[in-house]
Amino acid sequence: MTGKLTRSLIRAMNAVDNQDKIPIIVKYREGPVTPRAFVAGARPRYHFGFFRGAAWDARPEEIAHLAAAPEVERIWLDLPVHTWMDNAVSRTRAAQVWSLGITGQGVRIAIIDTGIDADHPDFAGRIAAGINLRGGSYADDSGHGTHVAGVAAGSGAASGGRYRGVAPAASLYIAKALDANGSGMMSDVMAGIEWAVAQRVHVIGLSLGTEGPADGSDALSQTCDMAVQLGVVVCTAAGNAGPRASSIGAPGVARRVITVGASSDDDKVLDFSGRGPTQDKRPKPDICFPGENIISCRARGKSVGRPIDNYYTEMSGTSMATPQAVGAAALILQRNPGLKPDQVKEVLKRTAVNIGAGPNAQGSGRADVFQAVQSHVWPTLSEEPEPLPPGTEPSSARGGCGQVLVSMFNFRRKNE
Amino acid sequence: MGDRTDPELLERLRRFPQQHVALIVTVDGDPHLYERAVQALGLTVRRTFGLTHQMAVEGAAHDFEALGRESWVVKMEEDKPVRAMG
Repeated sequence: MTGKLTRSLIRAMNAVDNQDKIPIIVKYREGPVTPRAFVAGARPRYHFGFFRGAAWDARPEEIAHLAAAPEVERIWLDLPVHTWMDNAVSRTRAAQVWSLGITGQGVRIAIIDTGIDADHPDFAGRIAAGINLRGGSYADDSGHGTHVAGVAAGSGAASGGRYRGVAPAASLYIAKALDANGSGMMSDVMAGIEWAVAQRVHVIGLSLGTEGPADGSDALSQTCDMAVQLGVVVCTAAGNAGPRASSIGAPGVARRVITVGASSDDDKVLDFSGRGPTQDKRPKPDICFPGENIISCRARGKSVGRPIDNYYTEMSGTSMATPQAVGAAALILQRNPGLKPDQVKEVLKRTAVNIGAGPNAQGSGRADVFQAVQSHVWPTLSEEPEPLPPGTEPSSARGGCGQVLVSMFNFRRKNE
Repeated sequence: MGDRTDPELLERLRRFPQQHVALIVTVDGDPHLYERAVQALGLTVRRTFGLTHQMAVEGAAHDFEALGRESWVVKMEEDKPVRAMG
């Protein structure tokens, strides 16, 4: 029997009382599985399709009983008891998506933030381009941008894969718009968005914002909506000024972006997570991802957050939730390359888990990335873009993604 | 005539004419066409945005008052600070 149990599981069984439950993963052999191979009276947390098994919470005696069943091939200890990046990935089931061979390969992600530590092992070979909107290098003087990029697309190389980002094979485009204190101006971020659109990225992450309240008519929100209209998924933070109502600023209030709130490990909306409605009474955020005690890449020499070791640090905030949405969008787009941004937003919202906090705290709920990636997207959305707020209609000179990009770059060439 | 500019902003520009401000200016058409006109008013164009027909402009408040009276100015708004949410 003990041959079926991993050493870490045996240690855990010896460390707890007989009444304590331990999270386990059970692998079954081929062939029929009888009830003796289940935890009596309990429901599994997950059934795995590609891996013939299930995740249970079981007492030591129940684990021993399972191990005695001939249908059971192996039993592992499931999650560690602390909250790590790997826990956040597990909570949203992003890790299960990887088992489908979907890791963000071929998808281009832009992170507009404080820059990046380009020498971090978790980004090796995948930073396709970078820019400092204020001039100079896009090296991270803060540490915030490196952490955010790691949450979205870190490979986990420096941790043996433990602290892997949501889309660990995506390409990264880095726009440094914020300084060492994490501060900048709307216009710098707008320039970063235009740069990212010109790079033809698929997804933009904005773990930043102004103070609320706001109504989406500001220039930064308008720029985000324009990027979405041009075919780019834009994920923005709900901000950390919650739980005050209408605490979300720009660009979180933009109409067409995916505004991301932060949830806890036990599926509660975190107090600090920005709340809706917007100043013009629209519900926001759109969705929640885990945002507490998230471990991700640490910029060399920087001590932002709570450093774990030389390569990783732990941070909390809607900044940490937002890049999970970025990575999730990348996984969805790899699986469904033809989806428009509004469809990516719709499938994330439709498959989210209701955590009972109301639309102006949770949006549609806490994301279920596995369900979103697997979900069949029906062409129910109108082909017409959502109208911009009154008084901000695009001029007649604009004619869609290709035409606008061509006109922008043709004009620039005239003036060189 | 900048009639979509927040009246409170216009009032602040009038009350503190010497204050250095940073605004985002939406114009009617390609912003590059208006760069010289903006500079002629004594203002500095930091950036132009082709996607949204806007410019990031800095300068003295009283110079922005003059800019706001131009027929091709659709709106002026503060270039607000942003910060990271981590």
